[in-house]
Amino acid sequence: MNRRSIRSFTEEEISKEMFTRILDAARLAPSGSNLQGWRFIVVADPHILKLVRIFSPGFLSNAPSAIVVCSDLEVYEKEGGEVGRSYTRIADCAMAVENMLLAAHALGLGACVIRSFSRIALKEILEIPAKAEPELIVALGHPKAQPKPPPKRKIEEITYLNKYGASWADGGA
Amino acid sequence: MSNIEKRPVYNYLLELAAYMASSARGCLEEPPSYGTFRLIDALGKVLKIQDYLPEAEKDQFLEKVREDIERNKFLKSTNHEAFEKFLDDLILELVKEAKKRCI
Repeated sequence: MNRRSIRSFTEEEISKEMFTRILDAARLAPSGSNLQGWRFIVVADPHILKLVRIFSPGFLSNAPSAIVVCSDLEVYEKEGGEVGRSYTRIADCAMAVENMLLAAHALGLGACVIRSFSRIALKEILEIPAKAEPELIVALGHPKAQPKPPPKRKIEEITYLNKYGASWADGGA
Repeated sequence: MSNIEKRPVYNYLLELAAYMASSARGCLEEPPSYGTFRLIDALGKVLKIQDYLPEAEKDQFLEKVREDIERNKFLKSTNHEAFEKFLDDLILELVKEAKKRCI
């Protein structure tokens, strides 16, 4: 429950074993129709990572590595229908990313999800084919500092009982 | 490798160009408030060009501005009022300095 988005890292690299455990958690995430249309690119080469970073305005940290999460459009177009194309592919990637974040946190690592990046730049840098689309970047590393938690809404502010708007806290009144 | 490719300051400018062009593209579809953050973040990166100057030639006022930006830019996502105040204070500091230098 104390996971945070980390934007300050040490220079220590992440071992291949740790990457494998994070990727294992990602691949076990649920996906619509079990399509598993996510694809993961581990970026550990400092030169390639720098290229990714400079074309990603949301990449605000010095993370020594990242995982670029892509969706395979072919999978979703063939088997996912319109919902798959427009919605499930993103939801699937998001669920895989959440598993990554929790696995990274359990390993004592820090991570931050990035959505602000140039898609065409990433496709060019990482040689992502036309049939795939970069959806999210997860910056990863050993945390240098643990930031304070940002404000979060209370359960009763965001939860209803049985119907939208019925107070959870008051038993649905 | 050309002379330009060998000079780190030009490579830094290339990084800055990559960041700003990607930001401009992103601002077409991202939440409007991201634009504010990108601008102040970009200002910090522009001022970092001073790192390519000899220490004695660095403008200490601008260096302090850069440090202030680094320290406060994330207020944008945690405390809107404090971020707004930081920007107002920064502008007033810039006004004072510009008047002092008779720009």
